[in-house]
Amino acid sequence: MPHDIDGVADGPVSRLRENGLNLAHAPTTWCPGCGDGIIVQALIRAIAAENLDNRNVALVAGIGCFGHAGEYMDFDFFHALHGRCLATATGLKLARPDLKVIALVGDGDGLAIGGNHFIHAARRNIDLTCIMFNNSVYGRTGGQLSPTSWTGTKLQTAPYGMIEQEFDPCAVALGAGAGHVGRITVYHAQQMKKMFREALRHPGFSFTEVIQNCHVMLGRYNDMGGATEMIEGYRDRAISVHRAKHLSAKELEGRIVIGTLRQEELPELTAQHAELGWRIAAEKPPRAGLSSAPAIRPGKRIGRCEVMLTGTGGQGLQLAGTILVEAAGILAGYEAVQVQNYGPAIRGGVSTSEVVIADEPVLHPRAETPDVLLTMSQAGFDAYAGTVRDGGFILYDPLFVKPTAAPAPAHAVAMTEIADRVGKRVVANIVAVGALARLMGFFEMDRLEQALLARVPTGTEELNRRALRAGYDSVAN
Amino acid sequence: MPEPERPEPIRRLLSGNEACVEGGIAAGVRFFAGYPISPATEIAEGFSRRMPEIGGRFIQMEDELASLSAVMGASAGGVKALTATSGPGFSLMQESIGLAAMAEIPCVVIDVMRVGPSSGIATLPAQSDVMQARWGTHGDHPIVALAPSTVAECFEMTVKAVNFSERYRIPAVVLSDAGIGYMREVVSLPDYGSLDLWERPRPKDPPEAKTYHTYKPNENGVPPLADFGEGYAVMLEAHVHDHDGMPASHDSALAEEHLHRLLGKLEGAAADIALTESVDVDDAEVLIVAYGSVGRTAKHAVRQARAQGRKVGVLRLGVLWPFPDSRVVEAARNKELILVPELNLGQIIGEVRRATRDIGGRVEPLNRNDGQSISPGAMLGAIEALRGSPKGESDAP
Repeated sequence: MPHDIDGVADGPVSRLRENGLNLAHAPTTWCPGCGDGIIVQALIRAIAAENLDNRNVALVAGIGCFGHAGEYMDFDFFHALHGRCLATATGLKLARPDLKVIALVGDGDGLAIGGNHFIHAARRNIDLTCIMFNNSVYGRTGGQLSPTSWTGTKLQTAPYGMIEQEFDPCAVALGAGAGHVGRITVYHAQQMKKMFREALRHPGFSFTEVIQNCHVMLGRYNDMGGATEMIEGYRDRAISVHRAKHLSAKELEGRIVIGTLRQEELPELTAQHAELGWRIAAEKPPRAGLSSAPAIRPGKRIGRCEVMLTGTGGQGLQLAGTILVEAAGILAGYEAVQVQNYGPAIRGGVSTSEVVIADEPVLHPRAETPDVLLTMSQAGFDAYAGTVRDGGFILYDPLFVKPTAAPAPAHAVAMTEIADRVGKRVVANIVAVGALARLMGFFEMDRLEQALLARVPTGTEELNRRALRAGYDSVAN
Repeated sequence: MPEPERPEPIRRLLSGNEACVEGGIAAGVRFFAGYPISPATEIAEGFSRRMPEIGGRFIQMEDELASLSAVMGASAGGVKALTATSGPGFSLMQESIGLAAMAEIPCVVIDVMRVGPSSGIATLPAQSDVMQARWGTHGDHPIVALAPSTVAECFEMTVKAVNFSERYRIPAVVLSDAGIGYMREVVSLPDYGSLDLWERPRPKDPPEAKTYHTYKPNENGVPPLADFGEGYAVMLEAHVHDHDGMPASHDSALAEEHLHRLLGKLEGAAADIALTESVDVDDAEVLIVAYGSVGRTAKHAVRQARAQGRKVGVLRLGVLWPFPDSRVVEAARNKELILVPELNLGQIIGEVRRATRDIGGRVEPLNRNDGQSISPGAMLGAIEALRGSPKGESDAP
């Protein structure tokens, strides 16, 4: 074995203990000859060699034999759900960018049940040090196939040999955009430490695949020998990435290419979030809608007034309802509720917006027997004209509606035509608000206008004001 | 981090979903991870706008499995964290809820319920996830689920859910629905600085004292939780574990003690959590037991009934889990009829029947699950019909 060229943090177990190994719970859960211990050693040595403060190192692990690694180290440790290690680590790192977060995943844990999290962690380039313990088998559950079990392997759930194609974890990481990708085996303990150091230093998502033996659940069913034979096999098959460059795919068949496959700095997620925060603080977005201090008392008692606005999706009836509600509820001090249809689902379909304005808190929020029905479509008229309560009235746009029977007094207001005249068809809804408000009798024009101007896009204020006035003037009080 | 700024207006038009966002912020939530789903998406959108303004973090994850996992990761870092979803996404989160219960990681899920199962009716309200909130995850576990009836309560109950989850180190759920989520109401938000915010218990000794055990309970049965990054070597563990967080699968005495302690955390907290509202209950002959959007309509029905001289009262459940047995028994005593209207085919009614079995009341359902609301008239009509038909003649489940 070559000497540790870094010259630090190597040596006997006592040194490991000083640096974070915790044997209080020894013996470990791992079988004799397992490579998990080699990986843990290399990790502790790498952390020490990088002079990281152990208090700032956090481990997150998924479920599998490897997942117990955190129990033998003195770092903060989150033993997460099977497959969810990288998602959990993403939350931790994003919330606490000051921590060095190391994510331990298995081959099944990281690439089968957790495969989605794996590619997205790589894509986001969040600064996590991800180490995959790849033994190509589900060891903890007794030897079932994993997405890295190669074709032909005999496994407890592939008793006639694995017929699927296997994943190359590094190829997946590279394909998903990881900036730092490396592969090593448990035979190469010294180089593993070096690669872990490089991974810990990388400011972004780093992925290191460690190929390891599971002679108990994989090797013995596939004539691979015991731990020693399997680990020696890694020695014999390994070839450095530099030498591999000069070989053909055929020559590389059966070989394990070890070393750093990619090292590139890319924009890192937590840094981008921090930048976003500063940028937003500098230019606070404007808020839509109205505000007022409480304690305005309404001038006139109205009981409970239900308004049903209906038409075709896209006519702006939600906005019309919002203006009525804000004018009554915020500026005039009434209690007010609006039940909206879900926008994306109703564009082009029948759209309704229900508004209830009352002296007392509104309990049942629906306009089931409206005092006022505004309709800008025949379908809306047909569906809701019959629901108007005694003493209520209907307001409709004659361009769209031919009233059939008249269950309640129905007023025609040529909203669309008036809007065209005022300047733009799109403000027909605002014409309607003006007409409605006048007929309902308890809105004050200046409050209505204030509510309107708080909601319409900048640059359209004058057009909207004209539309509101024109609607108001179009009906007799 | 900058202090949260209450959105300027004191009296504002807010939807239930928007109020959940402000409630979370007011409660101290500075991390949101989620995945778009109707009718809860506006909560994610709201957090995506608000978090960067106040030094918090928002991330849209790759799915709901990831969302609640990320929330728990952030919580381990000592940051109050929350996610929002609806039925199908809530199903995907159930595994994580089990972990949050077992590893005792504070976290909050807002479930804006819609008609299910599956894609059901994605934008219309239902109360479909009442039992999922209680038993959706595997194993016996503590959970709190609150059901807001108004936009203002979406705010208040989000604050409370965060509070409960922090104090007791449990997952907490806000069961909103598409009706309240999309509904906009003029509300007056309180001054955020005036709210009573609860923090998770944290260790008193410094890490150097070496007295810290991640799962050694305090006098309330809740183990103090150190933030990651302080030097305590916290060990959050998904298996049954000992005080240090070491898996103890083979120690059945320890497993029993551990699992009972998890459930016991809420037993002592019953008074804190029993959120109910009684309207005209005392002299009522008929009691309506309702929650969520149906609860406010039930109050409307009671107001109408009283105006006609009919003795109807309502017990509105603000908390569904733990089920407020004693409040229900108290209200249900000596009532001729107890009507349980729900936007599902009968979920909480089973609890009402269980809670009242010893006082022998007649408990009848009124159900609807087509995405429409149960009107006050339907409630009063059902009461009339039931009073006209002796017990046993209805075909209640």
